[in-house]
Amino acid sequence: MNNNSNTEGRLKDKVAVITGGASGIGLATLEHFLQEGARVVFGDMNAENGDKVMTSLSSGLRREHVRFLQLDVSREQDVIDLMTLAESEFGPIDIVFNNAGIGGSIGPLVDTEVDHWDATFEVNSRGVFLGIKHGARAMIRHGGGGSIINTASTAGISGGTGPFAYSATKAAVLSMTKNAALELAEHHIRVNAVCPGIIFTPLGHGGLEEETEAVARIIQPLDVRGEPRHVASAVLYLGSEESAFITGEALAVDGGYLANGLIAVHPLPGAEQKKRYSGMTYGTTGKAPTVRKLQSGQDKWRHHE
Amino acid sequence: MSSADLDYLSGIGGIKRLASRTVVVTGAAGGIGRAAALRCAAEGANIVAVDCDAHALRSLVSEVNQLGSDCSMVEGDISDLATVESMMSVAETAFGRLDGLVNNAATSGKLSPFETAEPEEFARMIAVNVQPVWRSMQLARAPMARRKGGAIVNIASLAALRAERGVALYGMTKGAVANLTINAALDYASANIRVNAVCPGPVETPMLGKMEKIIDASNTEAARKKIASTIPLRRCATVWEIAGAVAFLLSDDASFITGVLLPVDGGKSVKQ
Repeated sequence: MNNNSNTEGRLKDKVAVITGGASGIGLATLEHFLQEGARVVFGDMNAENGDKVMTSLSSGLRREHVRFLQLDVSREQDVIDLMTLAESEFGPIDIVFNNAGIGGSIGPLVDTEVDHWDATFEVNSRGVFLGIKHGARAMIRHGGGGSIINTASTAGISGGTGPFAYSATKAAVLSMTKNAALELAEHHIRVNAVCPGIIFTPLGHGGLEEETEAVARIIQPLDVRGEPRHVASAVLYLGSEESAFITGEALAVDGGYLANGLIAVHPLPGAEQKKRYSGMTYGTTGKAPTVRKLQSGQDKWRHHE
Repeated sequence: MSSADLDYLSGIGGIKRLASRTVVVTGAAGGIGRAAALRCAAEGANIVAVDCDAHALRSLVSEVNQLGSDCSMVEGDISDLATVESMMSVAETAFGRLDGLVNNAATSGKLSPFETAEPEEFARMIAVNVQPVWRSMQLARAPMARRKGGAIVNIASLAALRAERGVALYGMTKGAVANLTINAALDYASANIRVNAVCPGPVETPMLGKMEKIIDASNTEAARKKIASTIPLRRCATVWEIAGAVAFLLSDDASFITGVLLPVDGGKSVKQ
């Protein structure tokens, strides 16, 4: 990957903001960005994970180039604070990576609670909207343009690849990506999305690692285990000047999953269990899932009035 | 090499993602192909450069050498399958390995209006733009698989994804290239060979000049402005921006990316 003898750095002196930076794809991207010479402020809901990342960075240059803010991306003031911190600590923002997301509402759509639907959209869609809004404001204020990258998902493009509400939030991210790209082009701000396929993060396999590997062998053409660093190197490309003519795009990082049309719809890991449960999951935020077992006949709607 | 070219290549951050790899580039004598060959060479790759313009190829060889890489040239018409076979074997004989293939050679054809194109033109477009892409990918499998993987990048076009006046036959061939790309991606995944396509929008190449003449033969400056006005970023791509996407997709930075059709179009394809 980045074991080249790179003395310059592809993001030399760039200032980047990453949400959901304390684990998974966000953390791998943080590491890539630092390696390439950027200064990074990352936010995460999970303060414990964030502090852990800060401690793990060896003292010296790398430590000096990072700041952490505990935040909830669905709260506008938190996102404003994140951008303000980046500007005050490191200067004008060049790159914003709106990556924070949760698995959110799970279970059959007929059992999905409105609260769970809304809570999924609050983080995955409103969080990205706020990151684009305030990231763009910071870039416009400075006048130097920039690059915004959003984490969408193959589930935002194709049916059958993720939970019901989650997939809808990611489709919303893709729509925001296109329209923001058009609206912000005049300010030389590029907006793109990455669409990870099966990536082995705690959020990605949801604890069902072996089952996920088995499903990946069937539905994913490339015999490569998708790791956060695979997505991070794509984010690096979209964040750097290398991609200066790319905007409004959704780049799949999925081992060929979307290209594989014929066997696209296949039961996902835990599909059978998920039919029998309904509830809300919060990814790596530290918040415990609230899931209840569905018993046939128990739910009111199942009875004819 | 012009000073602008050198400026660009020295500004890529000194990355050497393709060190000691061998990359075959078709249509390498000019435009996107030349930029891709030089970009790959700057990242450490040895190049097999294919083109029908021997004179331009010779100057490319010396430019690649200036960048510290080796370059073997194959002169020939890409629509002659013997040329395709020869370029694939040169990679093996000259460098002993094949890691990357960039199918860039293509013709825009006459860009005739839909209703006036002749059958001969149809056949010629397939022979130049499609068949060599298919054949070279067939021949690339064995040498790449022997080295436990490789990467193929086909230059398709935004015309593969959208309709536009005057480009029906060109668009058809690029649509075919896009489809060959996803099918090869599926078939070659088990050999760890990744296959992707770059879909450029308008790029500053001789083909752009042709498009300008179709739009407004009397005022190409105005035509250029008209083309740029259809692009959210309000300009055309440089060949280096396409070459950068090619290098990314060839490199291990894209090791989990296959079967992707990547527009490099300044946002033009945002409008479906």
